Amino acid sequence: MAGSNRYINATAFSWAPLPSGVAINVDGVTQVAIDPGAKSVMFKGDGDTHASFKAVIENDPRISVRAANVLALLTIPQGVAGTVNFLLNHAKTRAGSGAIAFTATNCMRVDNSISMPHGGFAEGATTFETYSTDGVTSPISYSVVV
Amino acid sequence: MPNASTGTPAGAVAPIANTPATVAEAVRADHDNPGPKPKGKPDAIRVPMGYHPNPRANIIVALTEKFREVLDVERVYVKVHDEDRVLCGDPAMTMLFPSADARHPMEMYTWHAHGPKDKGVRYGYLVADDVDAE
Repeated sequence: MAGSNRYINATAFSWAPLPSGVAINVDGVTQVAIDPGAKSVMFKGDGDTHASFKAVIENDPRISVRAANVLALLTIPQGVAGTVNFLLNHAKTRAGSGAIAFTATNCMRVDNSISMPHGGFAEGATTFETYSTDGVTSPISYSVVV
Repeated sequence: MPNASTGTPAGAVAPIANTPATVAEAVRADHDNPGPKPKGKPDAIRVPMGYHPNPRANIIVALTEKFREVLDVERVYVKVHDEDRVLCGDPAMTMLFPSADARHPMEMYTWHAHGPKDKGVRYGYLVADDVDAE
């Protein structure tokens, strides 16, 4: 059931070291973002006033997560390759059919910051960078739960 | 008589020009003529961006429903590669052998046209591990 194509709330976020280490589960997730990190080049010449050719020449995907479970985020080591998994729930069914499961292989934690506001919940913000095993295949894939 | 174009003495075999260009050409030729389609389920499926098995449904849902049984996997992972979508049961799949593998940049799969009904759809079969022994 994915009729409405509306999604809400990322859950079940985890990172596990490669090749098959124990996963660190991160709960209290308030936001996940995927940045493809694409870069394009354009050409224009002669009388062109707009680009007359454009090509994507580079992709450097990164994933960032914000979560209340600061301790879990602190546990993820920096610079160690692992696999990130998380689920984007379907707005109607919630985590059932229609949800989108994201998987990112070769994911390294790079940045890790924590905000600790007075009178508010602490929140961690962690950024993962990825690399490709073969240089051409995206490390990020997704799957629809049907 | 020596061969005028290569300078090779008569009767001798001309040396193979083992340049990146000739190797790439040989690899390309192998993949353009991958031989008979293997039996059994494919390991991956490559579909062109314009291919939509059921325009009334979300395209990813439609592709998943159509090809999940063909791939015989619980979950169909989708990657975007060039102008195609690649479907596979393994989210860590790669199109080429890994950079650290001696066979890089050979393709991990041989691709075979599925048939006239699904135009542009290609089934991929993992290259056998003993390919170097051939």
